Amino acid sequence: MDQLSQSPSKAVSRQEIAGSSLLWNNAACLPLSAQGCRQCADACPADALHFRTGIPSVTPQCTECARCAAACPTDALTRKHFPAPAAPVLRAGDSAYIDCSKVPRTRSPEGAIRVPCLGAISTGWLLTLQDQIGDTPVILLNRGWCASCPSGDASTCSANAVVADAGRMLADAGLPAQLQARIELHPLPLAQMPEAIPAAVEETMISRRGFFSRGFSEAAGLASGALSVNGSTGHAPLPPLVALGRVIPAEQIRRMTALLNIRSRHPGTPATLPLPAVSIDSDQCENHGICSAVCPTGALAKYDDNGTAGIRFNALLCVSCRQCERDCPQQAVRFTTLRGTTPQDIDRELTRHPVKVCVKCEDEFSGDPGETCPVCRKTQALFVRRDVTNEPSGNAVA
Amino acid sequence: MARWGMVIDLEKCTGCQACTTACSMENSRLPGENWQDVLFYNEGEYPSGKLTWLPRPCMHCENASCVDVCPTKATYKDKDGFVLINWDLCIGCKYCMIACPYGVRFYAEEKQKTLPDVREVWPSKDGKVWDPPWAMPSHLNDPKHGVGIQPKNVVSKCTFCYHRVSKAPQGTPDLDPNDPKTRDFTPACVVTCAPTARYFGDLDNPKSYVRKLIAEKRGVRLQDHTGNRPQVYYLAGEAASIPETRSTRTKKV
Repeated sequence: MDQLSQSPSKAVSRQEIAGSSLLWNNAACLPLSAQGCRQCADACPADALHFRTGIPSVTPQCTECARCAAACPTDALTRKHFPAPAAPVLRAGDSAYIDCSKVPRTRSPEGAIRVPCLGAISTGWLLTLQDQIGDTPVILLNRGWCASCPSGDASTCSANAVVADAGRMLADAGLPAQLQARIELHPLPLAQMPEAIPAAVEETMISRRGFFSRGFSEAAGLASGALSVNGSTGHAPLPPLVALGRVIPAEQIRRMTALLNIRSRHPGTPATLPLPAVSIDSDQCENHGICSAVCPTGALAKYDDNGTAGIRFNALLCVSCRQCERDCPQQAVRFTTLRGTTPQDIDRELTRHPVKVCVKCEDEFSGDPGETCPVCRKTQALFVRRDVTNEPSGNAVA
Repeated sequence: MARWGMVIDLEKCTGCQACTTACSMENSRLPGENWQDVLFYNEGEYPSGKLTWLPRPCMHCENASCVDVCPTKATYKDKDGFVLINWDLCIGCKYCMIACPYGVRFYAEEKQKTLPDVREVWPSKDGKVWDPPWAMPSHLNDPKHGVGIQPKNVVSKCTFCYHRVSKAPQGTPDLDPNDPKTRDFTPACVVTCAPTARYFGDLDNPKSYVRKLIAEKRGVRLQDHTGNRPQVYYLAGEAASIPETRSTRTKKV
């Protein structure tokens, strides 16, 4: 929508959130309404992230774990200097390690990617790493500190859900279980745990090998264009991405790029992608187009061709915010999460209504069963005889 | 804190559309996009048919359904009883237009009904819908309250002339166009009404004339069964042009 770029309050900026090392891009943040996306605030283990008047702020309880950034589907929240999912160069038989940055550097395996918190890894980040290192398992090191850490979950490793999610997707993509990312318990004494997560600085590797390997992999990451689905993925089953002035579903694109790459290395796997699906009940739909107007990414869009009009859906752009389902006045939209979608089904028409001409105002309309457009019908309704003739009204000025 | 409301005496209204024109000039409306309109209606069959009419501004409902459905909270109920749109937040989804039972919300479509398309004759350079030669002074533009020429792709509606009424001194019971002290704060349609069929005042102020009118002449509200509780009341007396069945009215005693 043009207005998103016109309106001054929606100008693109990536600003620092005071009191934290988070960066916020208000243009990518999903609709700032009461029922809008709050995944970052929900993900915060310290309940330190709040949205007041549509602007995020953090309280001093913030542990800088960046788990909020991992929950953001559009990269509106990011942490400064968060490591890119770039694979270190590995010797044959080695595994790639991801370690918590609270662990003393000397206790981390050589070449390990150090993140503020294992929970700060998103599924897309993990899949991208898995894709880049090839058929070598990514091992997340659980130091047994999560239960005592203010950023951690009480009982389990905070990366559990993400690893389980990624595992499911990787299994679908044909990667055997022994090659998938997993959490391994390598406990360290609790006394070694520092109070706070080290400040967000560019992590510098100590070892020479680590330094060079990172340089190589970063260059490789740039060349492959980590966010371009139609880029050098080698095969192009996906429809072109059209996100005109809208929010870009960065996390979704990371996931799908990685999964398609992994799948291409494992031929013979069923060709479905774990994408969200939306269905519209054609009988209830009146083609108001509210779902397409509120959709932040343009996954739902109106189309109009040859005397018919309706809604089409691009599953690749969907960030599962469910705004369409909430806002449909006919309650005709149904959302289902992570369905096996074949590449042909990614972009498809959901409804098709004939376009009619209103007998009163000669405007075109669609989706309404009557002969007059909804506007004329409403105006007429002000005159319609109703049976109720003696309601209390009038002097009801209270 | 006031609760501004309007009373329209349908016995006095002649259907001259002066209010429509005044509103269009005051608020720089596109042709056909009349925030204040007069609806004409044929009632009865030949030979006893008659033409009746109904002036229809925004009702500025107490319990406005448009406010409830807005997904971005762009439409809101002001503390002084106005229902306004914040054009900076509106995404143009038109949900409010579906929810409004009175059809008083407008969206400038791509296709213009009347020719020539004035948006091409006077195109805007700063993202507005158009740039009419008779626009209101630019310092009055107030997108946070939906006053002025709207940007593209937003819904617009009657503001009860927010730019005038909000400047009235606190505690004013009535805004009377015949009183030089309050004339400048009175909505354009009320000022211009030749048969003085319109009254504007504070429905919460016990001293206000509109309260007295509604009580004495049994003011009615349109579509009261929807529970929207409009703040625009119609006086539908004996000789009024309101169709017999158009709104609920109290029985004659």
